[in-house]
Amino acid sequence: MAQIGYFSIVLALAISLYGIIAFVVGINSKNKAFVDSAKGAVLAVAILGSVATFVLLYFLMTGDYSIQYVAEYTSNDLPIFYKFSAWWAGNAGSILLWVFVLGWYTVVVAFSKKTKEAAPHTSAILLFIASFFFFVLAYLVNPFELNPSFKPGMDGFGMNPMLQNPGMVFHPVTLYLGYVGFSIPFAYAMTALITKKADDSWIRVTRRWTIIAWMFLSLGNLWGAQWAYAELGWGGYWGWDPVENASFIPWLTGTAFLHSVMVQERKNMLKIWNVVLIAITFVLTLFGTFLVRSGVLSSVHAFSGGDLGRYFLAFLVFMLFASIYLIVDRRKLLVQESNFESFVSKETSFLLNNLVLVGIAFAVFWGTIYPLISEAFMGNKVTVGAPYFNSISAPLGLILFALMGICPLIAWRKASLTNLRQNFLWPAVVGVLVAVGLYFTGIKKPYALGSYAIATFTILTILVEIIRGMLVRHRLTGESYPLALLRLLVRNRRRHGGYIIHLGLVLMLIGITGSQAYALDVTKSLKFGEQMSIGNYKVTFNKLDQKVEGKKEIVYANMTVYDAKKGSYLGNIEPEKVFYPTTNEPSSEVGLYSTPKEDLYIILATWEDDGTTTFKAYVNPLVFWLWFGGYVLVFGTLFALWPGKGSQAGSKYVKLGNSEQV
Amino acid sequence: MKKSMVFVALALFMIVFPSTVLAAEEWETRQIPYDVESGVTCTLDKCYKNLAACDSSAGDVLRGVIREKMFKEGLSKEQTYAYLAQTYGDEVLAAPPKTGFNWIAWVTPFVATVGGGAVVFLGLEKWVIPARKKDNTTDKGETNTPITPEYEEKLNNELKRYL
Repeated sequence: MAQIGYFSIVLALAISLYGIIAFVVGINSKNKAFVDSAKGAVLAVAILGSVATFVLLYFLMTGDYSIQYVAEYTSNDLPIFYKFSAWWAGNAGSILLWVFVLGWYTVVVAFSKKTKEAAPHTSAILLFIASFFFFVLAYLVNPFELNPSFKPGMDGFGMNPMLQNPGMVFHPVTLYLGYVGFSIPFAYAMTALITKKADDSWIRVTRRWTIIAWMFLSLGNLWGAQWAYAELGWGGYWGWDPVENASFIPWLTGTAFLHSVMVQERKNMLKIWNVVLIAITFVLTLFGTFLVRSGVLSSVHAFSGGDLGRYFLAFLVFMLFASIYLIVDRRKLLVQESNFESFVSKETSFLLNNLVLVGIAFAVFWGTIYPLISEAFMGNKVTVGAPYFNSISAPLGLILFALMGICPLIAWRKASLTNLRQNFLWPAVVGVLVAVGLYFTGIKKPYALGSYAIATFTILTILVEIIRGMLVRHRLTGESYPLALLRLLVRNRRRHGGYIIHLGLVLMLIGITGSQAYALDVTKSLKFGEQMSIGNYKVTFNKLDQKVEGKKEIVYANMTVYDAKKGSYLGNIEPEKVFYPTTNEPSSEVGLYSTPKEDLYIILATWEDDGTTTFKAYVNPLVFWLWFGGYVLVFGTLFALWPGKGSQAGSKYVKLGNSEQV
Repeated sequence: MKKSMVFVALALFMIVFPSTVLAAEEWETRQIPYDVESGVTCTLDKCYKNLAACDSSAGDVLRGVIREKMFKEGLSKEQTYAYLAQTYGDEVLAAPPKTGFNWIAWVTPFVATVGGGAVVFLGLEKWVIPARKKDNTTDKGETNTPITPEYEEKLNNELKRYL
């Protein structure tokens, strides 16, 4: 059985190489038979990748510890749900997941009827990427390697307890779907350059791919943050760990790309910039994969991959230079057809938005690799953690959120003073008033005030725009207000989906600001029946007990939460420490009492024989809005993506001589 | 005289000793402020977690050192960080110290963004100024054409068809 799995991988590598050659020959000789054969190769590669995957899943589910990977990541007592997720718990399995997704994505591209002309080149590029991953699986990290210390009746080492959480099951998959998804627009962009058809057709074709990849990357980061919050037990959700950064940086450049392509779609501008951005985004997804597997930076998320990092680095560098060569060589095709006509216009605001997004991406990238730079130049590796990233990204982030309010409402070509006043005066005034009001209620930190002022401004600009549209529609059609609102949103889902995404992001900003600037924390040792106070809560420690679930031993504290002012009962929570037989360090399950206003978050730290127990308690304001905003963002993305009338791009807005094509 | 000296010394010891014990207990158990703890990385035992997030015994060792320096010896946050960096290396700090070569870490992102902004501004200036001149010569008088009632009615009818 293991041979079937391994043979599938080797065969997939050989067929993907054949597919590349067949595509190249077919394209150059205009021989349809070769192209069709290559398309068959694409399908075969996807099927072989799936066969290898199903064989691995079979071993994982049946607990066949004669396979090294199964013995390393599962054990007899592991629930079936986590046996399945062990697929991506280790290095080899996660790369197999990558090729599984990439294989089927490539099938969709190769057999696409809408992009028949570009499909052969694009599929060849995707097969090239797949062949690298199959090479890695075949010769560097074989998932079907036999276990040299296998004995009948043995048990596996088990999964890292931190990974035994539903959040950690979905978080890696969504991240991979995002990472792999960005291969598609990249491949289409390179195809546009190779075939010298560098108009905006590749952008229109890849819009859905890009947005879906972006949505999965967003969701992957969101679920990663939720997992960290619930499972790592330190009161936070984003630690600016190198691996977290590696998934955040392509999200930032991907976001910049999503915005700048609109300028090319509407005004035939920023062509070279768009190709550069998607190439950078793709290379950054490889950088993330390299970082996780190379061990060059210390991270709680990293796999130990031996020499694997070097191969990823070589592939990354090759893809980077190949992209740069193509862009430089085809630069004349990428000359923009119209120019900026004013300092204040939608296109210049998009340019600023791109500048800030790429600026933040660079800042995070720079901070992530800085330990290597300091080691190279000073001989000692410094740590670059949360205090650095928070100070660097906060000012740029606030500018970005302000632009989020400005960009959608500013006119194309040239904005007049009247346009600016009409759209932004009142939201700006109310934003300032909110900041002043908050100042007098005790919120005095400048960043928090700035953040809430900008959040108010951005929410108001979006709401005013939607309400204005609804009123116009009501006036013109006579529809009731709710119907006018519904139809307004649905008839231009692309635009309003974007507004919903922006609203989601602003809600996330509100959550991040509240939880970062005004969190409370107390560490206290209690005996049974004693109380601790934090913020608006009084918490009574009722008992410390233990229970057994399978092979897990769980020590938990039962605590009752009361409203400190009213004394009313709010609920019971049970923070836990979970001990696994396979690891020395227990994992934490936090006790959480969550409301839209704030979270009471309690960690069971240590305990003595006499029952005296130490707790770390936090009150994290507004965290609920971070998660809620994240799901609003996902809803907005799906809303914009939903096919049919209303999801298309607007028409061109370029000057043709003295007339305008609108 | 000698007896009275011994008595006084003993009395003083009785008074001072319990209080020193209490003081020691007080500093040993005092809570480290979150902003101090989150500025430190637990580099002991290859943990590499932020100290605020670290609940291993290695983290407790570092917390003990911080308590001793801050609460027993009265060092400030910055002095405590300097001591930690001297003892465990710069790696123990969660952000590069703003000294010497490490200034590069702090300054580069802003320099790059401002530099990028300057390039964008210069590019815009190159494009916008000729466009303005062209507009002044070709579009004169066309921008503020009043909308007549007939035109507005036609526009509304068109809009109704497509809404």
